[in-house]
Amino acid sequence: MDHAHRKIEALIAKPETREKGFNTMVHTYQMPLYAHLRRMLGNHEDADDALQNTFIKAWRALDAFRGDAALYTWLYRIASNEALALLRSRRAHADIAHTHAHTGVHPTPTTGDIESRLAAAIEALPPRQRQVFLLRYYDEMSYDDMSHITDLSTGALKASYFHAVKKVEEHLKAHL
Amino acid sequence: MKDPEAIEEKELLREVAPTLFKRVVHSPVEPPAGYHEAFAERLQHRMAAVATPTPKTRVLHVVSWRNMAIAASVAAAVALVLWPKHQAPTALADIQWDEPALMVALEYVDDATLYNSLDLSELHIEPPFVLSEDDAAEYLYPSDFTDFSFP
Repeated sequence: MDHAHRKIEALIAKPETREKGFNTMVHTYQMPLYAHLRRMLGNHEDADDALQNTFIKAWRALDAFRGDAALYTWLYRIASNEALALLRSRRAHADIAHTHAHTGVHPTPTTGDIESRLAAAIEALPPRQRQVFLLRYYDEMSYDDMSHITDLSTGALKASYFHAVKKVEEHLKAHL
Repeated sequence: MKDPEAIEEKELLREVAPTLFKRVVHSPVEPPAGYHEAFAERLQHRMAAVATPTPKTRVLHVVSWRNMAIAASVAAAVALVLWPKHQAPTALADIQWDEPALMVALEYVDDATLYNSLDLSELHIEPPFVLSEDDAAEYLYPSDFTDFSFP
């Protein structure tokens, strides 16, 4: 993966190969980013929309990318911000409109198995904790990388992850 | 970029969360069949549409709205009517509700966004709610929406 990262960064650094680098970047990252967004947002439609927005924003900001951060943490940062914004807007819509039509994440209904219960437990987490839990548990990301993505200190991230784990566990126990 | 400590941590967390970590859970996040194969092409189309300047882009400065849901509905309604007129394949109703005067930017509209927005309110819009940009009025017809009225 490191080799792939370097290759993409080299391609996007030059105007004449930027588009090729971007296409390679999309091909390389669309699946892990989709998985992250799908878990953050809970349904395919929102994940698809957020994934497209992520790459559109990345394309527009390629000039600003100077390799100070790893390419994948930069993309995860954009994607995570997209997901958080969407979750906040859902909450705002729900608060204001008192809608019953779309009040939150809708995990894939595979009821009865631990995966669906875990999805429901993750859904119950506040957006930030959900983000931290997913990055650590599913993406197995280092706290340093997570810090680049979330702008939180490693100490705060560890605490947030610990609390998220406890909440998930309590939710699972309560719904067994 | 997997962190080995994160993998070990799952084992260590057995004590904290035995139910969750009695085995590593990988909840499935499979998209519809063919999604990833077609994604790049769809993204290219979307990027081309986003990059296309007016007339596909309409920015409405909306003032005095009762709440954001109504503004969202108007954005969706406008986009619905604009869609066939401008043959835009999809669009996004971007509502900046942090602003004192809401601004609805219609750049790019897709079905899900439109219908989700419409679902969020019941489209009860009555005077004195106004759109500061008169252009909007020509695209909004009460007959399009049975419970919709426009000043």
